[in-house]
Amino acid sequence: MTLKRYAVLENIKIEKNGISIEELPFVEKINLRGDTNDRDFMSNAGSVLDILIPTEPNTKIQNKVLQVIWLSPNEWLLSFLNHNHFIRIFEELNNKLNPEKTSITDISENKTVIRIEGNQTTELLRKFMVLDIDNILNSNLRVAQTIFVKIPVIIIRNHHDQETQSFDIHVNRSHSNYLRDLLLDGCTQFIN
Amino acid sequence: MLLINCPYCGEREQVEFSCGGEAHIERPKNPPDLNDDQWADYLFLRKNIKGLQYERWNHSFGCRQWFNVARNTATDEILAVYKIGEKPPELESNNPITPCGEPAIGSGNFSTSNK
Repeated sequence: MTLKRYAVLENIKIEKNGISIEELPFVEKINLRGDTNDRDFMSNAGSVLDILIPTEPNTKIQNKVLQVIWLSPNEWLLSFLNHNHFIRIFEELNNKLNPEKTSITDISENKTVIRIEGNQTTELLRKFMVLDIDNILNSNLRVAQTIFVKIPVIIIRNHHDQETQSFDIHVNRSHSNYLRDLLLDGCTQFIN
Repeated sequence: MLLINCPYCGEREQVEFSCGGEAHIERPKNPPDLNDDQWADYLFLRKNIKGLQYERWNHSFGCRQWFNVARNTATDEILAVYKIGEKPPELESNNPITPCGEPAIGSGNFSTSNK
């Protein structure tokens, strides 16, 4: 039986005081593990994904199909921007990478993605996070794993310096309502 | 606020980390040769140094990597951070004077030691 894959918050977009909070439609995700010193792994994974795997901490690289997000020195999150390529890439990774030295896991159901946009987004996030957002998320290629109040999240910066601020937060599905409610409460300070 | 410099992710706040206890404890090469006291010593007994202590830490809410930290347990000053497998750095600040002037070694509790 195939389980129906769905987003938790029913894709509702909420706008409050100049900040919009939206859960992205169901995003397929793969957890990929391998050794960066293994040439076969790096070249085969790169050719399947059509992108270089980032080795610099707290960074991401993306193309039109997916984002490759650095999680640890031997672990990456593949977050799909285009649903049509998920099955093909998942199968190709399993076929081309050595199963004894790599791990490829479909973790799509593990986390959901909440996008926050607006010019005061950074100020809103500071209310809940101990992360030094200005220094660590200082470009649109930067990501960070951290905590949001008490819950583990992955936060990804989407915007360039002169653009409207936009962040994606990967959060456990069971924590998504909690995170959204906190963000909405935090927005009440900002009046247009 | 205590900041810890994760060797992979950089400087992060302490709440993202968890302490894994004393570092550089080697597993005995021939456990069957040990008596119960020696085995219990390896399993359970840990130093409780007031001053420089080498500890394992895990960046549990970040990259989830283990690494070593040389920390002054009296002042919480972090003197060195290094990866697992690397040799501990030789540091001179062993048994430092604590901020409130307690003895460098011992319980450090004046109210107890004066009795």
